[in-house]
Amino acid sequence: MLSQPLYATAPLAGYRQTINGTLAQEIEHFSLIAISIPDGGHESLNAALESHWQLSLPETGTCIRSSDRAFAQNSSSLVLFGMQTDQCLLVSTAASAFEQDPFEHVQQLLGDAAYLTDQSDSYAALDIQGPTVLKAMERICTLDLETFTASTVARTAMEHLSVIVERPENDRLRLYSPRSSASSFLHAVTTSLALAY
Amino acid sequence: MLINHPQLGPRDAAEFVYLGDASLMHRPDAQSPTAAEEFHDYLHLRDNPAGVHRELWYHEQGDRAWLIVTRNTLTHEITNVQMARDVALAEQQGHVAS
Repeated sequence: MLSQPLYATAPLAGYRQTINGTLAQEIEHFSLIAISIPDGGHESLNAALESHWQLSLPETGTCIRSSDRAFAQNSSSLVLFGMQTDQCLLVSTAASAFEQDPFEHVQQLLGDAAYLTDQSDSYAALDIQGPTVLKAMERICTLDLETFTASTVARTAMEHLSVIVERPENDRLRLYSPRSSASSFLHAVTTSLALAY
Repeated sequence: MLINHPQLGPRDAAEFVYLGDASLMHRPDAQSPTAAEEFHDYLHLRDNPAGVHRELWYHEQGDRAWLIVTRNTLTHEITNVQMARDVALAEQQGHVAS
């Protein structure tokens, strides 16, 4: 038995910095669960999502946000990303609101309606918010982020690193990138922010 | 080069990985009496046209879907992009892919 409890370090060590008027901030304590749809199981999974969170399966490239209070603390903190045909990601930034593990909670509710994989520890999440957000992304992102709304999501590559992009607010992007290369990703983003003014 | 993904719209070719001739989708039947000859042709024989070519591209840095891209190898003009999944399902149902 350890005399001192051990706590996992955040992938970006809680990074928070304002660069040229835009805030870059790591999002900690989020839950990210991959949902794969069994063959022919769209209807039953849709019914389960609807009954538990008033959600439905999103089209690829779109996201749906829930206002379910039993799962999340506020209306924007539970999101379903349509990542590809037959697969989506369920993301919550209110993991601390659970009395039990979020993955176990979702597993209990969805049962056999979906194949689930807990990927919460596989990603680093970074919010960038401010007037230079889109300008900074022009250097490293090939997507036209001007056309993104709160209902858009995309996976792309930035400096050869895989990144999932959403735009919850006009001047805010949330970026998810693999934990193993998180510091390289942060370097790419902060370098771009420093060059955007 | 931009590839107009049927579900996601135009995406930079850097997000994709090129595999090759779309005929690779038609894997021979291993139980066929002429399987050895068919697999030889499948593995080693390719058309290499200077012009219109149907080819497989994998959207690795995107939605991980396989696409069939019809591309002119001389000009890089892309005239058609289909989800390989849709083409395979249509072929199973007896429809000829366009």
